[in-house]
Amino acid sequence: MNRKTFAFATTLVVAGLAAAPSFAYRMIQNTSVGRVSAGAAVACNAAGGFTHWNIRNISWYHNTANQGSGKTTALQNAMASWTGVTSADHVLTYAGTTTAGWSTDGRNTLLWASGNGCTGSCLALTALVLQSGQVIVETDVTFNNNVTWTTTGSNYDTESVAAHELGHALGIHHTNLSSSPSPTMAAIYFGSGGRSLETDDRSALQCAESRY
Amino acid sequence: MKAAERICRGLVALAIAAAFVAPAGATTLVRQGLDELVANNANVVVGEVLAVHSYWNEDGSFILSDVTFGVTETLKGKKHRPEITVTVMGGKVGDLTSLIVGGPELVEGKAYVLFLNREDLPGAKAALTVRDLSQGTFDLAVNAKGDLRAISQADRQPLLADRLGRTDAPGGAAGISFDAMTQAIREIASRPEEAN
Repeated sequence: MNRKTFAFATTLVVAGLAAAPSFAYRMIQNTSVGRVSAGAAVACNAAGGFTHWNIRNISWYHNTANQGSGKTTALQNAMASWTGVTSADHVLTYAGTTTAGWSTDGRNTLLWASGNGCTGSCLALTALVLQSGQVIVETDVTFNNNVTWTTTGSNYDTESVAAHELGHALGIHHTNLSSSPSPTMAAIYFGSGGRSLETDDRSALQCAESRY
Repeated sequence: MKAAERICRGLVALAIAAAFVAPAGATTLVRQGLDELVANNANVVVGEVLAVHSYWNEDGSFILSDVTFGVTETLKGKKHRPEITVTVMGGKVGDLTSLIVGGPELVEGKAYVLFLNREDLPGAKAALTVRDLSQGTFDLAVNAKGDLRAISQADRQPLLADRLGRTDAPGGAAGISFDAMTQAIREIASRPEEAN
C-alpha cells in the first residue's frame, strides 16, 4: 500500500470515529448482505433503518432445564419492565415452559445451556432471526450454564441480564449514555441496578414504536 | 497476492466501512485480557477473510457460516495451511438472517487477528471458531500516525470486570500496536502451560 492510500484510509477512519451521535440510545442495524454480522449500532433516524418487530405482542418460552429452574419470576419481571413502557405498545408475555433449545424454530426461547457458542467469557448471548426489511421474526437468548445465576441481586443477576438481553431482542443496541443512573442498555453490567429501565431505555423502545 | 498487500487491501475496506457506521456488537461478556485470550484459545492467527459461506446446519436448526480465512501469520498453535475454515454462528440464507448480537463481525476482504478454539456449535461438533466472540476478534486498522493497530471488536461491549477490575477491552478504542500485540502474544504463548 502506498503513502497516498494509507492517508486516504486514515482520513476515512478518523471521519468515521468522529461522527457525533444525535441520540444516546442506539438500535441494531443489519443491512449488509453476504457477511457475518454482529449488527451495527445506529441512531433512531438512521437512513438504513434498524431491526424491529412488526407485531406488538411477543411471547417468550422458558426452557427450565439446567439453571433455568426457579427463574420464572425473574424472567417475568424483566418482560414486565419492557411491557410497562407507556410510550410504546409492546407487550412481552411469558408463554410458559418449553423443551425447545437454541434453534431457529419460530419460538422465542430463553434457556440455560453450554455449547451454544456462549462459553468461557460469555455470560449470555442473544440471536435475532430476521426476514427482509430487518423484521425480527424470532429471538433466542442463551444463558451460560457454567456460571452461577441468582435471583437475589448477587452475581450474576438473572433479572438484570434478562432485561438487557430482552432489550437486544427488541432491536435495541447499547446506549452511548454514560451518566448515572445507568440505563439497562448501557454497555456495562452493574448488578441488580439493571433491572429497572431508565428514560433512555424507554426512549429506545418508543423509537422502534414510532418508526415501524 | 503478498500477505502485506492483502492486509492493506483489507485496511482500506475497513476504513471505508468506518466512515459510514461505527462497528459494534452486544451481549454480556466477562472481560478477557490478552493473557486469558491466549491461554484459553489453541490458535491465534493473523490474516484476511477471503470468503463467507452461510448455510443451514445438518438438522436445519441453525444458520452457520464457514469463513475462509487466509492466514498470513500464526502467533500461537500449529502452523495452519495458508487457508483455514472458521465456523461461526449466524449468517444469511435466502431471505432469512440469523444475527448473533455480540458475535464476531467478519467481513470479506478485511484483515483481523483471530483467537480460535475448537468448540461445539449447533450441529457442528468441535468446530474451529472464535470462542470469545467479539473479544476474540481484533480489526486491523491504520491510525492517524500511520501505525498499524489491532482494535478489539469488544471495545463497545458490556464487559464485566475481570479479576483486576478492568472493564475495557485490551487497547481500548485506540487499539494496540500490531507489533507490540504480536510480540506479547508470542511471549504469552511461549510460557510454560502452568504459568498461563
